[in-house]
Amino acid sequence: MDKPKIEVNNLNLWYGSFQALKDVNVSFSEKRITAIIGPSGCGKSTLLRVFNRMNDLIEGVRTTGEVLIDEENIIDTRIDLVTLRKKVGMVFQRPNPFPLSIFENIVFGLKVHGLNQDNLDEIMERSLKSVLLWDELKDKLNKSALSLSLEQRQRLCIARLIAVKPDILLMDEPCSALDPQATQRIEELMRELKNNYTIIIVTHNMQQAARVSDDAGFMLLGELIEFGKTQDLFTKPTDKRTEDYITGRYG
Amino acid sequence: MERHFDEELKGLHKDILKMAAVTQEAIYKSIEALKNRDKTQAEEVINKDVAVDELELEIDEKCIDLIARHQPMAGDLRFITTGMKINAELERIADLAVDIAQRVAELVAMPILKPLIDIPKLSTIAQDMVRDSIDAFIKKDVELAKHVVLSDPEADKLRDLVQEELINDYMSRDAKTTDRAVPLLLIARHLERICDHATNIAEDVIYMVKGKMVKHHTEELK
Repeated sequence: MDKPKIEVNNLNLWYGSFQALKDVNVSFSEKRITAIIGPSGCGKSTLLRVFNRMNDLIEGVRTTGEVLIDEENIIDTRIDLVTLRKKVGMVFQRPNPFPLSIFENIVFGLKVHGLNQDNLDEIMERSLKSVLLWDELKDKLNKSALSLSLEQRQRLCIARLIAVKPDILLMDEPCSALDPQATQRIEELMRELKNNYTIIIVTHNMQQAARVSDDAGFMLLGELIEFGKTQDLFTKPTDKRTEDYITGRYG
Repeated sequence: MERHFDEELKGLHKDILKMAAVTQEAIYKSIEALKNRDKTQAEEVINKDVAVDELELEIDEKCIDLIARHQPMAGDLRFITTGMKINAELERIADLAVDIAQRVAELVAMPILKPLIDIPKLSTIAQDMVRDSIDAFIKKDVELAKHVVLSDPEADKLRDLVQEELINDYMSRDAKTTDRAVPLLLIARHLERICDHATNIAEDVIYMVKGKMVKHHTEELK
């Protein structure tokens, strides 16, 4: 296997006295889509939020172990979070564009990260093209982002990340607010984006994980129970707990 | 947790067993018809094939419906896809039983060519292999499935023996025996094909249970 983009070693995480992640060891390959599945409260979103240190926002969080992104341990407290979050962007369940124009939404990240804004037209076009919104929105850049449909908003949120040239896209239930057609189009977009980005998606939707991902992991009660090629996980899981969950026997 | 889906899977399992029972009966009767030179029994096998074909379609539709509505995963997915394949194999086996019955109908109209020795042996192997492959499916028994797969060369050997004997000892010596020797030769061939389909079923069972494809890699089973 190629050098992993993200390597997680002996990762443990506590919210106060509650242990949300238990000795997680896993590697994520570059330019692939990896899906993390598991029941509510299994720790999958917590794991996702480790990669851009979003859990830091929660009081009483304690983390041990190491998470190497391009061989740099991002658990290290000395790491610059703004730089990390530029490299590791996140898309949320509900599309959350800023209540600003489409244009301002794209430029926002550049301002925050103090990036060069000389070629705004080019950045605007590249970012919106990469999420297939350019043709629809190129003449409406000054309109409010809140005037867009849910799917367009989610695309805009992805474009907003792409503007600052991240390496990794974290997606936490990115389609759960979307209808089946919009979901399918976002999945198509993910396949496009895979050519340039490493994508990790957390989803309740098992069929979506099976459709869209190359690798997949199953989590339960804070543990990563099984991890492997998506095809293997969904046709011949090796752990009975995985089998029970994906066949709906869990509970 | 018991799922409603489990009831439907049990129903499919039952249908496949029904298909297997009808198929096994067809082979048995076609062999009995041969041994007893019984034209009526041979015709019975031929006439019953329509029911087998209908059952095949019914099972196929059920499998497609289960896949469409439940989008099964893991063991459920392997069970349903294996069920579809076993269904097709059984239907082919039933067709071969009809082929044998048709040959029997031709043979009974002519005097006996020779006492049957190797063909009954081959028919026993074929019936055992079909029975064991279905038992392996019912019990999810990988060892029994392997035994079926490894029995196939014996069937090939017997078919060759029958073929050589009929060609060398009869047809080459006396061309007039051809019209009685050819149906026997074909019956040996049909029986050997039944063994091949039983082998396929056994290989499908191994995939269903272990998630491992052994088809075309049977040397690994030894």
